[in-house]
Amino acid sequence: MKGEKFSILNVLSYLILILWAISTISPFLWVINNSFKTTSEILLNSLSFPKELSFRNYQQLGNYGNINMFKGFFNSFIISGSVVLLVLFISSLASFVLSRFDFRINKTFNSFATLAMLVPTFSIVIPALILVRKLGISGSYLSLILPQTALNLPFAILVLSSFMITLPKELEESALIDGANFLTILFKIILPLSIPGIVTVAIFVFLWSYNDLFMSMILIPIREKQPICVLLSLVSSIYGTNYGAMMSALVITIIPVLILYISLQEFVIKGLTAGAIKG
Amino acid sequence: MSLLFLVFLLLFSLFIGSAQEKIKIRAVTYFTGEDPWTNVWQNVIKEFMKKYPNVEIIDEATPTAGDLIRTKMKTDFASGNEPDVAFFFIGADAEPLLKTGKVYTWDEDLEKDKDWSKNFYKGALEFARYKGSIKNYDGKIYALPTIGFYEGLFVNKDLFDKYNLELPVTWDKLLKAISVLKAKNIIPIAGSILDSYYLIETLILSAGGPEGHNTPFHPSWETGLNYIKRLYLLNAFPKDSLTLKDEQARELFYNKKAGMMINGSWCVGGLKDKVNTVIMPVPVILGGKAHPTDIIGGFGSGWYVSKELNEKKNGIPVKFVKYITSPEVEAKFIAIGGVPAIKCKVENVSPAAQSGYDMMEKARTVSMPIDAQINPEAFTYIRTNLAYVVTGKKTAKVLLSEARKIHEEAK
Amino acid sequence: MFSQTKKYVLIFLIPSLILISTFVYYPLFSTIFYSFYNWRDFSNFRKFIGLGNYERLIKDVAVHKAIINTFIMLITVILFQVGFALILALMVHYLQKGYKFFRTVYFFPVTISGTAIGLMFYLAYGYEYGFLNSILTFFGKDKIIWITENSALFMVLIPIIWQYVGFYFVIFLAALSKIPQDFYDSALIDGASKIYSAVYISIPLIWDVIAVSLSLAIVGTFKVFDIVYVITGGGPMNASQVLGTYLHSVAFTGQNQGYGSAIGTLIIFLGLLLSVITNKFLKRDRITY
Repeated sequence: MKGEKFSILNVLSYLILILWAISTISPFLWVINNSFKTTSEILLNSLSFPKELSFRNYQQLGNYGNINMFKGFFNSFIISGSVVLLVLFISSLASFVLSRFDFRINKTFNSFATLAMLVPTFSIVIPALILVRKLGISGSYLSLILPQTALNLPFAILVLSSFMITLPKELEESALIDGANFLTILFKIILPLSIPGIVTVAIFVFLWSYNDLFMSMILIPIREKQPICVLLSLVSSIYGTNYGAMMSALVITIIPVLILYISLQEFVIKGLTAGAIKG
Repeated sequence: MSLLFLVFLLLFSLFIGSAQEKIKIRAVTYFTGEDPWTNVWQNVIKEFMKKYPNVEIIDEATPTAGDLIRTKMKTDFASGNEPDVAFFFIGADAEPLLKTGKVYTWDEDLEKDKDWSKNFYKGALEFARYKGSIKNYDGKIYALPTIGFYEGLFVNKDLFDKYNLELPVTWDKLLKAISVLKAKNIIPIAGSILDSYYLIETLILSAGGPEGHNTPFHPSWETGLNYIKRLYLLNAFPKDSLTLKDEQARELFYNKKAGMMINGSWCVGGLKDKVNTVIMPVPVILGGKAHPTDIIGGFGSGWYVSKELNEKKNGIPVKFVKYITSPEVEAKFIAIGGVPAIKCKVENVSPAAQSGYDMMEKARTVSMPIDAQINPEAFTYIRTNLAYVVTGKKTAKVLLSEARKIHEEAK
Repeated sequence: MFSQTKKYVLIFLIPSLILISTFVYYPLFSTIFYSFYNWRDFSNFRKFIGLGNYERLIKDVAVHKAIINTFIMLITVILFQVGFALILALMVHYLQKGYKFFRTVYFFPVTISGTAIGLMFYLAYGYEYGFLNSILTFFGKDKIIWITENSALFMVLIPIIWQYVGFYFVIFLAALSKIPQDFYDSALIDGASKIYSAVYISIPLIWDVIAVSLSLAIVGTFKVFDIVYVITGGGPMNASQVLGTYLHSVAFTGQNQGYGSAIGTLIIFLGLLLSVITNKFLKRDRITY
């Protein structure tokens, strides 16, 4: 692989790679930079640096019209946090069974889950809205948490069970002989060993839930409980041409996930590649 | 460990909600963001909560843009999430809400509480009296109007003066203004084909007069739409009018980048220049059936209360609406813009607002807009497909016959 | 012992079974059921109309346009999203320098919501106050109408493609790193150039991963909504309409849930059909190493 150092191919490759990197970084820098400027400053020249570092735009986010971005943030945390915990708990139960035993029901269950993964949210949202009303949970956080959990379960089960399959069976066999029951085996032996898989699932489920506009917009109509992505979709209608406010709204939506990603990226990449390479 | 902490935090946050024992009132309006009445509305809520400390009003204002509020109201009602109080459209949009049987009727209160009801203009209330097929509501008043509206032609008079243009009181003068403004690099009419509600309504009125306008799918509707196409072909609209949202179109007019706009009284509050803006009827097209003073307007929205929730919450929703419909509060709303439904004293009326009132006063007839009369899906169809007509990809006749089919299927 | 095990198996599977059945399968079959009804305004009354909604579906220009757009999207996503990601991954793989940096940075847009990305591009595309035009005016050029009937699909495709390149890039990069060095060594002895070794060694060896990525990309195309919804809402004249945005506008703006359900049924049908086709088409003998 070590060949000539200055071939045209190498230079061209670097050029393309760097250009693409610029394309993925610059929009964020541009948004962050503009979030400190007034709208007229932005319109005059959106590439310049702010004349003064001002948090005016951010102050508006707490209450602009009736849109409180901070509250939306809090809601997102509750909803996506609950979805992640629920998915992890329920899927690890199922994955444990699927990876440790070879019953006929397993195969049926597997196709049941795989098929469910193909169902787009568009095809279920209308009845889902009616369903949450029938269940008496409409308007609560649960009305979004439960459907999102169900939609994420198939993915989580497939990833986790394929991870658990790779764990050696000897450990639990000796535990079984010692008289440990299933729950102990799962929580004391299997789960601690599956942490990389669990983290991967957690991150992807979180991202998916945090960014899911379609379901959130329809299933949680109550403003007090809407997650941040819904509020963000209202921003261009509500803020009119107040670009400064829009920029700061973008920043506070984007930054937390970017930080989360950067701090956990090793897990993300490991999990992503493990999952995909196994297919 | 951190997982445990997370669980704890989650549980804790769920508790915060139930710790306070205030009566929560959810109120849906469209007073939000850049809407001119937003500030008044928010202050009114605050004052009410100060007066009744045990009540918390949850402001769920949703913009009218992109039909967001329509979707919200209908799904809220259908999914059993109806708000306690709502300021929402009346007319065709009320139908599905009334069908759920959850809407409170005001007749009894109006009868009993004369001190309060005597201030309403009788005509205004009539806009929200139901006449239709739902028996429980027949002849009843299901919403209380407070802010009336009109649609018309807004003119930046300073620009007209600058270029020696006469006010566009006739179609010819409008055409003249368009060609002069265009030559001076000013957008003649800040109009959006995407959000073409007001263009459709005013030009159909201009073509068919009140009779034609108020008869679903009257032949004059085709003429009206064709005139929008003519204006489009004259480049009277902004270059990106096919994708421009109404909010941005208004901004063009406010910032004097456009000479005129066809819009409604809700824009008066947002005007940056309230002195040099004149509001007048859209001129009658050549051969149009309308009288030069005929306009679109009336009371298009009213205060709704949920019947069950009102009972459950000891009548506080009704109390809140009575507070909003008091002359004092009404005056605050009208001071910003709109036509009053309740007798009240408004001081310091701006010249722009005054010209709007004058137009309303001189009007021979005031017609409720089309979207209050035909099925919303059919109107949405006309509006979202108008781009096909103005770009010549479909004739107005075909579009209207397609919309008519939808309208009839929906019955 | 065995029967006790079986009991546990069932208990462990039941929560998943219940949730997935209730919130995925039940609504899915309800959607198919509702698609045969005239049902509006979420009212509690609906009328059976047989294939009425489907007749309308077949004639509906917006649906035609949405399907065509979805297929155009499919092809461009395969070519430019997966294809470009592969090229980028090969480049980084051969150059080795900056491996971690590119991997981190290219993944940024994947983590951001479509809504936020859509809003960013919406702000860029505006005519009068948009940022692309403000740059043009800054340099003394004439403003451009960025979103027209002809360009709308293209303009929404840019962010859609851009967002997920990093996703496939990371997958490919990891797969490439697992190819043992000997394969290249033997190729170098043969005097193979880099491009040659990429085409004849690397790509065949990671073909499995490419196939998985392609089917992920295809399934993903049917889920496009946020970016289009925020930037154009499907317009102008349905030019950028996709099935998701059209379903939303019919069922929620137009308040026709019966017809909306028919569109929902069409989406799941097309999605299943394509998954089956891609699985058949992409199956190839595995190369083990």
